[in-house]
Parts: sequence; structure tokens; C-alpha cells
Amino acid sequence: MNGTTIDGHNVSEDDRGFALSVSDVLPGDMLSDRLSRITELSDICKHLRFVCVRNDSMSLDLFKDAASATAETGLGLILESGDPLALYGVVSSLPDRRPLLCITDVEKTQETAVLSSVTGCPMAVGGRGTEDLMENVEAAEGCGAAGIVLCPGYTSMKGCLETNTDLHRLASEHSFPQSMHPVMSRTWSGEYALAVASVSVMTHGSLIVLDDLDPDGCEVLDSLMNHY
Amino acid sequence: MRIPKTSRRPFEPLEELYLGRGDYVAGGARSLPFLDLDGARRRRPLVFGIVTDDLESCPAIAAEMFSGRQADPEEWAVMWKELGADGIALDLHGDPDLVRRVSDRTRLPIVVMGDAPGSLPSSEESVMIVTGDGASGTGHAVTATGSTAEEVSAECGRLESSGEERMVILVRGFGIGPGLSEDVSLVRDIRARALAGDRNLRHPVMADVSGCWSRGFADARLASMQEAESALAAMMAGADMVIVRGPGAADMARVYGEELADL
Repeated sequence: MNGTTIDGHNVSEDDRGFALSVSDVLPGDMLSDRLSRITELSDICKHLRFVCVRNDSMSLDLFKDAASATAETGLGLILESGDPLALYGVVSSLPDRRPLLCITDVEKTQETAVLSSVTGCPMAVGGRGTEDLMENVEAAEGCGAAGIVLCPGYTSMKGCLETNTDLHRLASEHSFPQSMHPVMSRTWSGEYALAVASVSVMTHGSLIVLDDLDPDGCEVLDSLMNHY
Repeated sequence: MRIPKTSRRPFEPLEELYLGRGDYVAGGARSLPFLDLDGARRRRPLVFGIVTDDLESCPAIAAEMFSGRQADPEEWAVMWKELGADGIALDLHGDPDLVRRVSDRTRLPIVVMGDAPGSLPSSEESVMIVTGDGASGTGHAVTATGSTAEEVSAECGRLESSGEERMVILVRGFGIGPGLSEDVSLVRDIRARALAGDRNLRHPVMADVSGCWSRGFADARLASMQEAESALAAMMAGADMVIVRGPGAADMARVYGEELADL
């Protein structure tokens, strides 16, 4: 299975990582505090290698500001938005960075793939179910995406188990071309999110993006990634 | 787009073990754990909570979670039942009659740990699991251990030759930390070989994930989270039963098991 380089960090099944998120609606001081806390945690948890910036505001300026502040942490950057133009606006403002582009609107996969091709940034490809996901990957590859991470759209640990296993078997047993990419799991916050993240690690997931996780949860997830 | 099929046919079910008064059943898997893709049986792993009659042997941060009832092992076991545990793992150091008293009070399946007890209730009343070197089942289930699937298979074969009919494969010290990947590989290997036809390995697997409490965590929350994730890892690898020390982990393990088994 192939690895993907996200903002200078390799991600693969043998080189796992996780991200905590910041929202671009956070006021300046709160954003700085949160980024400081994440940076401190990353000193303890070696797999906490990324920060995901969410474009909750749907404002390009706020998205740029939050991404710019996050870029200064030195952690890998993941950008999440429903608007490819917002992603482009931020990437253009950070010419030395190659963040992972996550489009929350699956219908805009091809536009994002073109953006990925132009900017050299990898992208996360989503889909509702394995077949839909594989078709979206094929479309993204056709548009010249610079790098791909699979982002199946499950909402539970059961869904994570079934889908990740399906994708792993497609890659390892059938060498199915569109499945030969690292798998990313997008999850929320709290103990259930930790459980989904854990199931993802146990089923060949390479990258976990969480909205939030407290220091204890980060320690447990990091330890699991170290030893599983 | 044509996507290859990745599902697998279910295998012949592995051995089931009826515990307690026959109202609890472990094992019987016919696929890799929980996979609907492979026609998994919808059965949740059983969760056993530890009770001991030697409170000194139990880390204080774990014992303190039982609201003082840990001072009386029978009360402690009843509290586990109130918390929804499927069974009691009785770490016995003293009077063997405690086994009967806990069984009568809770009517839950019991794993008898520690030294082999002098006497157990008749297996016709309640089938238990007895751990410990040299333990004799006398109608109860005994445990086989080993560091590789080959060793476990040989041990199960030896026990069967000596007349034991009910067996459980016990993996001790399963937990997040150094050695996790080896323990996961062991449990996975046992399940895979059993499904592939190694009859010696057809017995249910039980993983003791309570060891994380002895790692010196300063507070119970982190230990509980480590234990819960360890239980999840054990169940995902193929454990049919898990032994836990903390009520938080027991609750999470039960909920995770139910969701994964799609109950």
C-alpha cells in the first residue's frame, strides 16, 4: 500500500499519525491558547503530528488567519472546508506548505482534485460506501490529484471496522488500484471518538482526524499507535 | 466500476462454552471478529469483573471505585452484578467456600483465579472457569496458556488427553503498552487457526486486560481508559471473554462489544 506525504510528513500504515482540530471561528486569543495546548501535547505524543483547520466560518479571511497561525506551530497542516475556492485561497497564502485538502462536500471532489494537481497538495477523497469512494478516487486520479488519502464516510466504530477491512482487503488481496492509498478516519471528540480512532488503528487506518481529545485520550491513542 | 468481492464465507462454528447455570455462553465464532462482511455471529464477548479476598493485592485506585463495598468480597461481587458485568473473576487467596457464596449471591458465571481452590460447587449447579497451574476441572472449564498458537494448541491437546472436556484459552497480561502487538498476534493467530481447522484451538479465548492498573497511573481515569481500549483491542483480535478490574472499562467494553456485534 502506498504512503502519502502531507505537508512534509509521511503517512502510511507503518507511519501513523493523528490530528486535533481548530475552528476558524475561534477568536484570536482562544485560537492561540488552543494551538499552544496542541503543541504541548505533541511534545508528549509523538503521533500527534497534524492540526486540522476547519473552515466553520465559511469566511476566507478567517480561514486564512487560522491556517496562518496554525502553520507557525510546525505541525503538519490539514485544511477542511466545503469550498474549494477557500482551500485555494489558503494554500496560495502559504506557498511553502503542502497541506492535506479535505473537502466536506463530496460533490466537489473533482474541483478539489484539480486544485490538488495545480498546487501539489494531497487531498482526502470521501465517499458514501466503498464503491462510491473508489469511483471518486478514480475521478480524482483522472484529474491529476497530487496525492490521495481515502476518507470513508462512516459514523460509527462498526462502520469503521467493516469499511476499513473492506478497503484493506481490496488493497492487500486484490491490489485494487484505487484502494492503494492510506486510510484516514474523521471523528469527533470524547470517549466514543477515541473508540472509533482505536478501531481505525486496529484496522489499518493511517491517519485519524479528531475534533478534540483530552490529554488522557491523546496519551491512550498515542500509546496504541506506538504498540499496535 | 467493478469492485472485487472481499467477503468470506462463514466457517463451521467454533466450540461454545455454557457457563454459570447455562444462561451465559461464550465462543461459537464462525468468522474473524465482528465482521458482518464475513457473516459474523452476533454475539458480544462476555465481561468479567475482578473481586479479590486479598485487598492488598488490588491497586488502591481501582479498589476505591467500589464505594467501600470492596471490603466484603460478596458485596463487591454483587456490585459488579449491579454494574452489569456478565461474570465475576474471583482472585481467591483464602477460604474456598467464598466461591460458593459469591455464586449463590450473584448467580453469575465465575472465573476462579489464584491458587486452585480446595473445593468448588458441583459443576451441575454452575459451570465455572478455573485458572492456575495444575487446576483440575472436575466438570468445570480449565485454562490453557502459551506464548504461541503452537504452544497453546499443544497444551489444549495435552489437557484433552488427560480427560478435560471444557477448556478456555487464557491470555494473561493483555494490554496497551509493550507487548501489545505480540498479544494481538497471538489471539488473532489462535482464532485464524481454529477457523482453519486446528481442533485443539476451537475453545473460547479469554483475555485478562487488568494489568494496566499495576503500571502506577496517578489517577483512575487514565487507567480506566487504558483498560477499556485494551479490552477493545482484545475483542477486536478475537477474545470471547475479557477480565477487567475497573467498572468504567467494564461498561465501555460491554457497550463496544454490543455495537461491534451489531446487537
